[in-house]
Amino acid sequence: MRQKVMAAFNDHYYIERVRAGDINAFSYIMSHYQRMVLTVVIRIVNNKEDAEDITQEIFVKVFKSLDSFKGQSEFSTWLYRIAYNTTLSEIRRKQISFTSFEDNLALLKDEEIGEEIDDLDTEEKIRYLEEALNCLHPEEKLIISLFYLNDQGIEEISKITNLSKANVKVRLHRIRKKLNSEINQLMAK
Amino acid sequence: MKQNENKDRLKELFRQIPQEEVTPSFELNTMARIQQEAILMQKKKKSRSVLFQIFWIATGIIALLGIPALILGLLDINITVPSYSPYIISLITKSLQSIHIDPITGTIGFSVLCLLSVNLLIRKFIHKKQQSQNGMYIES
Repeated sequence: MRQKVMAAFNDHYYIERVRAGDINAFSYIMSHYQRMVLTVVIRIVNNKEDAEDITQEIFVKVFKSLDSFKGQSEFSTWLYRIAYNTTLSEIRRKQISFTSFEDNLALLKDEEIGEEIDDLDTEEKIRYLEEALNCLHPEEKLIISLFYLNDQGIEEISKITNLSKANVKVRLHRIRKKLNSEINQLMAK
Repeated sequence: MKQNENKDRLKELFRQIPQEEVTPSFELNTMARIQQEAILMQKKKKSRSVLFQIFWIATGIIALLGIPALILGLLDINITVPSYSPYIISLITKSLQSIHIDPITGTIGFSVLCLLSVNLLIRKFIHKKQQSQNGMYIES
């Protein structure tokens, strides 16, 4: 029912309602984005409880700064910018640990994921991908998740992360290189 | 071509990740926090508007006292207050009786009072308008 109601109006309608004082309208905005935000955040922190805390923090920040949204970019881009900054600062604040293999990037070949992966079942594929993702820096995880999970383009990611488009492209290439290499190593074990 | 296949393979892997479901209490808890934040924001706005009013009232008082003093100064009118106390009351009474308000000073003083009243009315109007436009209310 809610989905049907939501489909009838766009984000700007609910934003204006919240700005006019109808706080309950914010629940529609939240319902629209919470799963997508949580899916990205959970890949970064690997813990649902932490991910929900961060997601809650993100939505509180979105609510508090809704007046500063001028509509110059898509609302989703603006929201993911808050999500990106909040996730990174929460990781720093909570000191959530991660392991990165940044050092040997230059030694990695530009390899593809082996065709053997097609023979694996979905659960195994996801497990390999999640293990490979754990070798990335949180910022890299966010960039690749925004690109693949949320279908954000280079331009949107550039706006979200405040990096230049060229920098985003370079980073995406490096992240893919790392992921491909790690997945192949995991499959070879 | 091979690179494209590879990209698609990674993309395929990401596509297979299911979207996470939030716990049932998540939305309720978040909305409760947002309601709290809204109340806090409302309180902050109120205290800011009280400070704003205090500032304007203080400005008004300063103007009320300062402008006539300035006018008196400009018109070179000296009011001497005797320092010895026994004659103070009688002198004040006498001077009050002998005060003759200059028509120019009176007009300026009256204009200042009118302007201050208009200022107060405009501020009240703007404050009410701001409250109705930006004020957060919570629907039950």
